[in-house]
This record gives sequence, structure tokens and C-alpha cells, in this order.
Amino acid sequence: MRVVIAEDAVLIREGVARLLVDAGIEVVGLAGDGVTAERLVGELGPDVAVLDIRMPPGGATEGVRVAQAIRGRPGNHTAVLMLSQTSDAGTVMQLLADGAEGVGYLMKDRVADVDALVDALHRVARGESVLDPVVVGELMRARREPPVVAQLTLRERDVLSLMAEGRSNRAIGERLAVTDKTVEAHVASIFSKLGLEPAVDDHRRVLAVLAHLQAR
Amino acid sequence: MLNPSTPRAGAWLGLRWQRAAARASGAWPQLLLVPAAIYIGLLVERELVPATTGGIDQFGYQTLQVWVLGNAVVGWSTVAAGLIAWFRRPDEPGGRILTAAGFAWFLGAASWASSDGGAFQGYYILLVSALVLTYPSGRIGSRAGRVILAVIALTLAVSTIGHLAVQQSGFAASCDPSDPTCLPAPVTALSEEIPGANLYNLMDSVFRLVLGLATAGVLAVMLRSFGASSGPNRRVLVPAVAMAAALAAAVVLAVVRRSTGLDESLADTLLAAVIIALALLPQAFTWDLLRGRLARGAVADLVVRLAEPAKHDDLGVALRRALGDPSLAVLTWSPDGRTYLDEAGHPVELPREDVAHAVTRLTSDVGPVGALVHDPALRARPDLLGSVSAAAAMAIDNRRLAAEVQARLEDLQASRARIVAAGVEERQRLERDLHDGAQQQLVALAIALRVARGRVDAAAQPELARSLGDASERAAAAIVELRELARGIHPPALSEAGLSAALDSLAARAPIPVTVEASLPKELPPAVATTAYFIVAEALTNVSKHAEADRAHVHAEVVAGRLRLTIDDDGRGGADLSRGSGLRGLADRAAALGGSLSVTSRQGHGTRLLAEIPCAS
Repeated sequence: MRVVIAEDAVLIREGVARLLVDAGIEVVGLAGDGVTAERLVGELGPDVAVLDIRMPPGGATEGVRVAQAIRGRPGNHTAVLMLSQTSDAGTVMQLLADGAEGVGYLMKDRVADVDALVDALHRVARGESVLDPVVVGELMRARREPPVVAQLTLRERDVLSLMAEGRSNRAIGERLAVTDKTVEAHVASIFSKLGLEPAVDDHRRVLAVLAHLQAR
Repeated sequence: MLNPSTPRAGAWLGLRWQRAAARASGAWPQLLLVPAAIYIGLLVERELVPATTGGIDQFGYQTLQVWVLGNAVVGWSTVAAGLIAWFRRPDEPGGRILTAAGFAWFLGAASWASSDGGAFQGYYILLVSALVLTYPSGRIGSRAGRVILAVIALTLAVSTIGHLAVQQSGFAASCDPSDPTCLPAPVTALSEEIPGANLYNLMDSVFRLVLGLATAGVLAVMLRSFGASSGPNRRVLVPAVAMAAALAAAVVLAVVRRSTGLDESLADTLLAAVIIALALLPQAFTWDLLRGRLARGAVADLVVRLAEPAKHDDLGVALRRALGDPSLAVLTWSPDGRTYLDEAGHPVELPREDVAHAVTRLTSDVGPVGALVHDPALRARPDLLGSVSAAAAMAIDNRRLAAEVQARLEDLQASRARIVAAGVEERQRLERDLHDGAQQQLVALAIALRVARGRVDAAAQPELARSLGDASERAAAAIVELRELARGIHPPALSEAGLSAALDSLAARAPIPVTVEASLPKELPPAVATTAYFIVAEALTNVSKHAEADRAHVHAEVVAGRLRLTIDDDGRGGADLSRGSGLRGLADRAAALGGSLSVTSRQGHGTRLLAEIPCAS
């Protein structure tokens, strides 16, 4: 897998690169700012662009801008994994506005967990969605309507969180140590309780769930 | 040049009628005394004319004519002056005493003319003495005055009882009072053949002598206090001294005339003069009372007017009215203490005094506060000018102090807002520094440790591998802690995504369900947004800590340039702003930005926290 890393802090940029290289991932380009990142991605066409959210020249949400630019290119096949120092649901929704396919959002401290990082890279490269559990946790609690989530059973809430993180049914089943059939039953129940249309793709499911959680 | 007297008189009359109208409702009983006085006067005249005819032998016709005519004039004049003063100055005893003196005058005349032989003569003297001695303070100033009044009162009482007793004993019964030809004889005419006549005549002489001495004493007391006073106070005493002099002259003249053979024509002239004085002096008295009152009334009006803040700019108007001088100009001493300013605020030189302009400087204990440029005629009323100047100085000084306080308040408010804004900026900088510095370093460290851990052969060096793994986990934990710390210093969402989003993330982290309803412009002044954020954060912390609430609701909107925040919960209530130091500090911050914070919390009815912060941007 070929990856471009954009991060303005040299230590982190080099560290992440070394981590990925050690994990057997090919790091084809390093960028210290959003503009370079955009250019490198255009030139190299990597499988995944790992983007810091706060970068020069745009500052606080430069990463989101670069992500939108990359994903907006015709025939784009580069997935995007955002790294953020803070969990911010608003930025996440902005990021997912163009669809959740091949998009990930991880907290920066998660990077030290190399397995999680590599797993996330592979998943977004496959077109799945990845959301950091910290962000999902916030969304789960940030209900504006009468708390529909409260109607869910504890197990259903676990399933909902994992769905929001972008996990497939199989991954959910593995995590919770239940069969796929059981997961499907939970998902069907959650969708009917939340009043959502059943979604086929995992990433559409993420969007539906997130949209529901974010809905005003 | 303006004629100063005309407008002043106009204002004077205007005020007079205004006051008269205001007072009229409570004055009707006093007005009833007017017909009473007229009636009594006529009655006494009717008695007096036949009575005096008996004295033609003794006094001469001309004397009696003067006496009869003067009698009525003095009585009516005194009653009239007394009633006017009473009507216009019910709070001062002068009017009542003067009115009573008028009636006492009639009583004395009637008594003289009737068959009681003058038992009730002389009370006029008592009352006029009292009036003179109590003027203008309403109290008797000297011990001598009190002694003299007591002597007069005692003498009169003894005389009245004596007269009545003599009459009761039948000594005047030689003549039937119902017989029109029976003339009540002046005391000297009493025949010595009548028993007790000697005693009576002695008593009568003593009585007159004592009264003569007493009135001379009153005059002496008045002259002494006249000599002891100066300036306006001395001027005020003039009618009282004149009155005392006329009274003493009248009494002494009567005594002298009775005991010696004074030249008749000289005596008549003196008597006429005294009677004219006694008729005119009450008017002078009343005039002076009213003028004094006018001055005091004008000053009182002025002070009341100046006390109304809305009328502040009308200082010139109020002063022109109080002094009745339309040419008056008020100059104020400039705040920088170098020049005078006119009413429009332009610097002016203090004008030189001339026939049309007089200058009265106004000072306070800190130095000059201003000046009045006015008609020189006002110098004749030093008391009025003095009081008005004092009031004006006070008003100008007050206004200066108020402006100073206002300016300082504004300075203070601005500096408080600046301090809060600086604090917010500082927090933002700190958060950025943490993000760009320590946090980045920690992340890099965690990654480096992780890389090192990955490169160690776990089978060959299991301990090192475990140590590196632990270290990288601890670094990750430190990152999380630092992130929370940075968020507490300044929430990054606030500067990145705005207050609405930051409130959402606050609600998301709250341990109880919190709904947020926010319709806010993206751009709010940072100090306002940050203060609002921390108010909501503190409120939600309190709700989850103390309120035992099931849910809370946050509402935020901008109405008329003010950010309005409400945080409601359904908890047990009973919260108090003064108890939570966290909220107290936030209330201070809101106040520093010109806003407010209040808590409504009834026991068992939840809590509502309402904050308003101006955010005109």
C-alpha cells in the first residue's frame, strides 16, 4: 500500500512514516503543508493520504480542505485518513459531507497504536469508513432530540457505536464475540427503532447512523 | 441695556400668584377674619365717636379727630398686613401675631370707649412687642427680651383684673352704661370723691409708667441687636426696630402728655406721626416677610429643580428664573482648570464689571467652580444672591463630579472588558502553544517509542519490549490528559468551529442528556464566545454535580445585539449564585463585558441560569 503523509510537525511526520515503514507500508511522499500534500497526492496517486487537520497554510481546518480537494478530483481513488489532536464532531460531519466512502478520522494519540493505524489505513483504502471511538462516543451522547438512543438495549448501543466507527457486521461480530446473524438481528432492530432505512453498504450505514446522531 | 426691575417684578408677581393659588385651598378660615376685622373696626368706630366727644374738654377736637380716624386705620392696616403674612407664610408666627395685634388694637379702643374703663387696653403693646422681639427668627433672642415681655404681660393682667375689680365694686356705677349720655370717663376724669379712686389712679399711673418703660426696653433690645448685626441681617431688622420705636413713642407720648402739660399742637403732630407709623409699619413688616420668603422660595425651587437629573442642562434657565434676571449668564470653570466656559462650552474671559454686568464668583472647597454674570441690581439682595450662588456652585460642582465619576466608570468598564479580552487571548495562545509544543512533542515521543518497540525483537529482549510498550502507552495517556487540560484552558472547537459547535461538544461530554438549541452568527467577539462557553460549561458542571437533574437544555441566541444564554435543568433547584464561586467568577466576567448573569432556582422546580452579554460586532 502506498501512502502520502502530510503533517507539519517534523517529529510526528517522521515518526508516523517510520511506524508505517516498519509495518510494511510504502510511504511514497511526505508533506509539511496542505498545498504540498495536494500536489504530492496529484503526482503520486497514493492509496491513502494521511492528513493532519491543523496545518499551514490554512490553519485549523486545512486538512479538511485538502481532503475535500483530493476527493473532489475526477476519478479519484485515493482514500483519506485524517489525524486530529482534538475530537470535533463538527469537523467530522464537514468531512463526511461528500460521502463517507474511503474516509477516516483518528485521534492523533491513536497513532501510537500501530495496529489500529494500519487497520484503519487498510479499511479506508478498501473504501470503508473509520471513525475514532472518542468521536463516536461524543456523537452518541450529543443527542438533540428526546434520547432515542435510550430506547436501545445496551448491546444494541454497542453495535450502534461500532457501526458508527465504520465497522462491518463481521468485524462487529468479532469484536462482540457473537455470530453475524446476531449482529444482523441487532442492526435490523436498531434501524427500526431509529426509524432508518436499512442500508446495504457499510459506509452508507455510517452516514445514516451519523446523520441520525447529528440530526437536529 | 435692560431695565432690571420690570422682568423681576413680573417674575415676582407670577410666583406670588402661583403660590397664592397653591395655598388658597387651606386658607379659607383665615380669610373669614377679613370681614370680621372690617365689622369690628366699624363697630369700634361707632362706639368711639360718641365716647371721644366727652374728651373734647381735655384733648381738643383736632386731637380726637386724629385719634378716631387713626384708630381705625391702624387697626385695619395691622389686621390686613397680618393676614397677608399669615396667609403667605403660615409656617412663621409673624403673621398670626400681627393679626392678633390688629384685633387687640380694636379691643383696646373698644375697651377704652366702653364702660369697663379700659380694662382691656394695652394688649396691642404686648403683641407688637412679641412680634418685634421674635423677628425674624421666630424666637426671642435675648433674656432681656423675655423679661420685658413677661413684665408687660404681668402688668396687663394686673391692670385688667384691677379695672374689672374696681368696676365690679360699683365705683363707676354713678353712671348707667345703658344711658347714652353716660360717658365712660377716661381714668383721669375719675372724681376723687369716689371711694377707691386714689388707689385706682395710682394703679393706672403705675401701669402706664411700667408700659412706657417696657416699650422703651423693647426698643433698647432691638437697637442693641441692630448694632450687633451687619449687612443683610441688619437690613432685615429695620422694620422691627422702626416698629419698636413707634410703639415706644406712642406709649411714652401718652404718658408724658398725661403727666405734663405738653404743647397741644406739638402733641397732635407727634401723635399723628406715631399713628401714621403704626399704620404703615405692619405693611413694611409683611413686605419684608414676603420678600424674604420669595428669596427663600426661589432658592428652594432652584435646589429642587437642580436635583432633577433631567433638568441638569437647564442650570442657566433655572438660575435666570430664580434670580429674575434674564441677562444672567452662567460660566463654569473648565475641567483643565485654566479658563471659564460659557453655557455652550466655549472658553470665555470673565467679563469686566460695568453698569450692566456684575460678576459673582462661585467657589467650592477645591477652588473655583464658575461664575455668574448678572444684573448689578441683584447686589441689593445679597441674601438671595448668596443663596442662589451657593446652590449654583453646588450644582456645577455636582455636575463636574458626576461627569468625573461617569468618565471613570467608563474607563473602568473599558479596562475590565480589555482585561477579559486579554485573558481570552492569553488562553487561546496558551492552548495553541500546548498544541504546537508539548502535545506535538508527546505525540512524537509516543510514536518514537512505538517505533522502537516495533524494532525490538520481543522474543530476544522481552523486558525491553515490554518497557517500551508501557512507555508508549503512558505517553498516549499523557496526550489524552494534556488534551483535556488544553480544552479546559481554551476549547479548540471554539476558535475552529464557533460557539454553536463548541456548545454541542460541551453537551456531548456532559454526563446527563443535554439538548442544545443555538442559532448564532459564526463570528462572535472571542471574549464573548469564550465567556459564553465557560458559562455553559460551568452551568452544566453544576447541573451534573448538584442538581440531581435528568436532563438539561441550553438555549443560545443573539437578540438586539446581545447574546442571550439560558441553561435550564429539571433538578431539585435551590441554587444560589452567591454560593458557587465558579459562577460568581463568570458573573464577574459577564459583567466585565457589560453583561449580566442571574439564577432563578426555586426549591423543587429546577434551575434556570440566564446570561446576557452584549456582542455588537
